[in-house]
Amino acid sequence: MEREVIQSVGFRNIKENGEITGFQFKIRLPYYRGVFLSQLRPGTLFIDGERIEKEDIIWNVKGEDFTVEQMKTDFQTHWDVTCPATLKVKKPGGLAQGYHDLKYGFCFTSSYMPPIIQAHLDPDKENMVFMPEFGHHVNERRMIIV
Amino acid sequence: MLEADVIQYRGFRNIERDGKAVGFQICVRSDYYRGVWLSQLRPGKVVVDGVTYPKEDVIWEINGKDHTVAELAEAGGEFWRITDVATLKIMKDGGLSQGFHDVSVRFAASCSYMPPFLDQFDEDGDDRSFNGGTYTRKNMIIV
Amino acid sequence: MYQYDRKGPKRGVALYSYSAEFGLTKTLEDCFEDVHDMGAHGIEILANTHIANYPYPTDEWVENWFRLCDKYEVVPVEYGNWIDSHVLGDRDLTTEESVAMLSRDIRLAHRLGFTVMRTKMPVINDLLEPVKNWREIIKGALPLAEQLNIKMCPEIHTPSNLKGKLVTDFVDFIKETGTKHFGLNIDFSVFRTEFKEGEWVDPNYTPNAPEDIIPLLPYIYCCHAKFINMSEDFRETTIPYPEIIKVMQENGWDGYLLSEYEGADKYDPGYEVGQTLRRHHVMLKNLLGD
Repeated sequence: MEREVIQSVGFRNIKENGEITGFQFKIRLPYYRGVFLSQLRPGTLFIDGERIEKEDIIWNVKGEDFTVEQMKTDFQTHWDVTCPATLKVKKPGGLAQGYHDLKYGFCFTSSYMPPIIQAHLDPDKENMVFMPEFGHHVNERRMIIV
Repeated sequence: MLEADVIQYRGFRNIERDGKAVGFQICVRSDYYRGVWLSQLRPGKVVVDGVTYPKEDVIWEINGKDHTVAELAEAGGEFWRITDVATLKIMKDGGLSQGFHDVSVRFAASCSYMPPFLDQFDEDGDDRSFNGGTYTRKNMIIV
Repeated sequence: MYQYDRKGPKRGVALYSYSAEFGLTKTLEDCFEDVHDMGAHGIEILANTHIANYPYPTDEWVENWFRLCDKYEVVPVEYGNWIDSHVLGDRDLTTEESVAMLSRDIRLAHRLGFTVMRTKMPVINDLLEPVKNWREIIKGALPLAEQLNIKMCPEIHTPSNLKGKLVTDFVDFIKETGTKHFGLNIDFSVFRTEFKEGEWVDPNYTPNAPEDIIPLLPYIYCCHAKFINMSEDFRETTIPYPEIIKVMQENGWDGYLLSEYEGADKYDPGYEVGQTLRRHHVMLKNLLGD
């Protein structure tokens, strides 16, 4: 696993039945413990400046696909800190060969933190105070499609 | 997983027998890009806080098996993988004292595809070669 | 399984300390060997971090867990878990759902050979007051904890005070129920007296004196030996360790002190928290005389 939240390994177009239907990339959880899916607050993806809403991103955790809606109520499926999640986006034809700038925001709640801190969590904005063990909400990386 | 330095913080401790410290050990990784047969190793001296332990005083544990340097030279059928540490063990009554220690380990790997004039290593010297040298880590802690 | 028979305070490590390295540059086994180097025999894991495929590890993983404990002479001391009752965004878990979550952890802790759990409570305000139904949640899980001999211990951490309402409520609960399966984990941050110039200090915080721990000792099954700054000559410069250890020894406390390093600098590239923990263990070893 790479130290960066957005992993360079796993960034590629998705091919189904010989046709490119979208792209995927992997992220690791920059927290010191794993979380249940309902703790996640997925945010917006920007790819080369193009905005992709959270509803259009599928999270794959431990080999299983989840929509944002499904994750909201799932407090049984656990995302381990040692296993990156794969995020999939539908896009006929996929991404063009060459460099792409990814910017993606997500964060998560914790029951042991005062609710006032939890209430203002915004996956697309950084917290007022950066705490390394919670990681950054918004991560950026420039990566290559071959 | 290994630390980036050749000398690992992890594994540095006294060796105890029947509750008494009888020596100490140092773990090293290879900074070569491929694993080597043990007879390719050119094991050298170990220096701790300025005290030199000649190569003959060092036992190399690789794959769970102890080797003297003479035995390493004969062990052409055994392999040291790039992802494993070698544990260097040195007998010393009472082990090392509690606190900080500066540690150096010297070794190299010879290589058949290099021209012989380059494939040289002085186990007791201080020069670097293409395939090894003296590795140092300071302020290693014995608890 | 490996046993360590020493009586009194004993040395251990909370693997939380490795949070910036675990999974990136250190495996679970690497952490175990690091602890072994220090001559410590106790370990705390965080269930949600260190157990692969939590909360349902494979039999192979569990087998390997016991192999590691034997190989590195480590006792499974404390299993860190969370009652995550705010796990859903729009409502809290019901008492029954929270009990189910807690019971699942009790069973898993027992399966891995633990006897103490650091049971982190969900909170409702910045005084870290637990959810209103915490008593019902704990009562719901007590029969199982008794059956499997697990002691659930909320952690008492700065800014909480050993004489404060939070602790008093927990102790009253223990006295009312007479239970031996719910207790306390004291984090030594409650004893911190020294702060850097200009460092933010929670206005709710008052340091405890070492002897404040004495009346609580019968209910303490584990401690987080929090440390902030270890000097070059192996002294902790912000928490009165010699006095705390002396009080615990003189009053016959038996259990593990689990070193926990929380400093944000451990996230700096190249930082090896093992070196920081070793400094702490030089001090603890000398204070405990082990």
